[in-house]
Amino acid sequence: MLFVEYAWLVPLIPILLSAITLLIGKRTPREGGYFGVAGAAFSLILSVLIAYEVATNNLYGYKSVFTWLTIGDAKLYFSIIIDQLSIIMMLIVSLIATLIMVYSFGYMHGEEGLPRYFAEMLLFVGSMLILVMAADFLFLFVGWELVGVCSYLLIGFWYKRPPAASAAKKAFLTTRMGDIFMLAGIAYLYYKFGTLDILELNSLAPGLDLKMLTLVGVFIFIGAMGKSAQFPLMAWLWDAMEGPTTVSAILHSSTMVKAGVYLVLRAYPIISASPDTLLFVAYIGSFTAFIAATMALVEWDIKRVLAYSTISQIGYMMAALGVGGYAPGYLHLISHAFFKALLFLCAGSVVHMMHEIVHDPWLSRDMRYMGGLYRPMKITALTMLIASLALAGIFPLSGFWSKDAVIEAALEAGDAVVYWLLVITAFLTAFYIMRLWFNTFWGELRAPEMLKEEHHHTEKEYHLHESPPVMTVPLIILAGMTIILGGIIPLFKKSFAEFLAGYLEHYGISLEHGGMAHVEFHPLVKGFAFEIVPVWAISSLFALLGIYVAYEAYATKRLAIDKLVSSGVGRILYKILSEKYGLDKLYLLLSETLAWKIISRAASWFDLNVVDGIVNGIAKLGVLTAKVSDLFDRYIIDGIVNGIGTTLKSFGGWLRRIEVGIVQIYIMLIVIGAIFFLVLGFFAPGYISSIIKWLGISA
Amino acid sequence: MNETMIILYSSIIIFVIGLYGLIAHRNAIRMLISIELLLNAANLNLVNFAHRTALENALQAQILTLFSIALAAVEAAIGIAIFINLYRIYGRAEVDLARELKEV
Repeated sequence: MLFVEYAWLVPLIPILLSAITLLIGKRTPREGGYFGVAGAAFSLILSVLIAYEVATNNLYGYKSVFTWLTIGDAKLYFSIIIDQLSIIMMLIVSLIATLIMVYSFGYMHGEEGLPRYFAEMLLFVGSMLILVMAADFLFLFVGWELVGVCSYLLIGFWYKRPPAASAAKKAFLTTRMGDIFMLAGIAYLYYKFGTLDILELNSLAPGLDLKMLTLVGVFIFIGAMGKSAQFPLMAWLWDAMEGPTTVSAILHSSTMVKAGVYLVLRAYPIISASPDTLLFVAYIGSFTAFIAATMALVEWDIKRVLAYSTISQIGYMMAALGVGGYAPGYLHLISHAFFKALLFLCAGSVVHMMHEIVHDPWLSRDMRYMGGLYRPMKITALTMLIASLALAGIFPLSGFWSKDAVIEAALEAGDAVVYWLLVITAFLTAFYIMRLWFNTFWGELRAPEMLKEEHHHTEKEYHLHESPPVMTVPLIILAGMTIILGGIIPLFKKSFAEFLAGYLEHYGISLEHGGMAHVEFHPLVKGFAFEIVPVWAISSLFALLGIYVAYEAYATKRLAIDKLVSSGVGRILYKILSEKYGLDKLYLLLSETLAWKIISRAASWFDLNVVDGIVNGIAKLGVLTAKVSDLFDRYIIDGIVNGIGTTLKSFGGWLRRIEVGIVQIYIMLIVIGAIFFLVLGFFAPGYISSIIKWLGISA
Repeated sequence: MNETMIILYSSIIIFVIGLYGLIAHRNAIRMLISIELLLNAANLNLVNFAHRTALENALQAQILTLFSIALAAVEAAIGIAIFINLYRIYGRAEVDLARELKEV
């Protein structure tokens, strides 16, 4: 028996357990929480076994195909593949899901609707595993949409709060915008090649005409942009912070937003075959990384800062893939998964505690109310510091190596724009994440004075405390993973690139030193080299600078940041950034004018006049037919029936006159009849015999 | 005029008397007697012809006659029973009284 033959159980068990949790979760201890942990842990254990087996027996590329339906000659498959790409994602998704499920015990304790929460989380994990393991675009799309639905459900978990409900809607609709393009790209490939198998298409698609190839690549990438919240389809992600923090943690670290990056990794031969597509990916990625980081500079909502940082870091991954850095992109995905899950869980721990002080879901996330939490929450503070430094890219944590690799890839490709955007973003990243840390854990708790100002509360003693072990243990594990990855990555960087090369080599793409895919670049990219100092020195310098500025501004307060933003250019800049470049307004405008005023009115007109016209016409035709058939029924059918009835009735009425009830008259009639026949027989004997013959009586 | 013809004519006379009695009177007893006459006229005919034919045919005719007599007895019994009830209800035994089922 091989474990890999049971790989389909990896996504199936969480999905089945999700249904069970929904049905009977209410009656089990922790309201279905154990099902949640069991489902994720099962996937983790099976994934580990499969990974071990695949690695020892070199079974990469194991496929298991299930025919879903046959339409004529066309067959649609649900097929899964275990290869270099999927096995890593399976491990990450199931490991982080398990930890977050455990953490949810503490964080979601006492919430209403827990079985629903755990069921949706399980479905979320299961559908992400489907997406990861899918070997053809159809099955991938099934997982893709299921992930979208689950994130909709989970972001809107507190659906009674209007912001949560509208954030869920926004997330769903924005990602749907990307999905339409992606579906169009997939449909074109299917139309052209008659197959949906990703591996086949990876080798077939580069044979397309270059213009179409670019278009298909860009369309598929737009799908990834929607899911991974890249510019301009990014506005949903910061609103998605209305969901529980655990949901944000899983959504940002391993499931929803990583799906886009994973799609680009999976379909890389299609995307990299066109230099234009690659350039598009690189520019979108680096630009997103930059503007999301700038937005994070002025945000006071602790969770939203992390949301911007996710967008920014995914931008890094996309930029890496765009400049051919296949292995760096994947590496950054892996290290980001751990430290971002950790950051969110730490933020959740802080928010959980703050909620008991300010009693308001909005204020409990506001960093202006925090401060000085280091002393009561040492574990949270230290693990968050590790994660923050990893995000900032400080030696020797995991983020240092992966971010360094990404920037190095940009340099190696020779793309000056991408390179400088990413380097400046490294500075901004270090600044905003340390700003978050200093504001949260340094100094004194600001909640009393803030509350007094706004609500005229009397100062009272706050019970500041660390979160329960069920929440802190996952934090420690994830912090440990971040440190360990920091130690592992430099050792295995090269073999990791060789490992991933195993996937790409089928399509004639080789991974060179540093995991750079050997692909053709756009002419714009050529002619840039910056090799005065090594890349790691540059990025570390910028990161340390960012940390120093944050320290000066928010810890020692020697740098008067308030004055900077309250006058002149600083104020305008602050305004632009806190308005998110007007992206939210733009969305609102677009949805109001385009969707509401034009499309919906056109649709309404079409519906009222054309569709209703057709429907009413059909109805009128039906009425007319009914009337004709009614007339036919009433006058012809009824006429015949009634005619028979009337005839018989009048005949009977005429006949009954001789039935008078006097016996003598009957006897008279008999006698008269007898005499009649006697006379008839006497005068016309032949007539009688012909009657007898007619009656068939032989004489 | 031979014997057969004499019996035939007398049979006709009995039949016509019975017919007249049946048509001309409404009294139930009279009608019952008239029916008896009709039956007996027919019986007389049967016996008459049986007498003049071969033995096996004669036997059939005579058995039929015996049946007819038995039938007449049964009919008289039932008829009398009905008429007694008729008399009890209406005070007279006249058949045209019993016309209640007739639609007016």
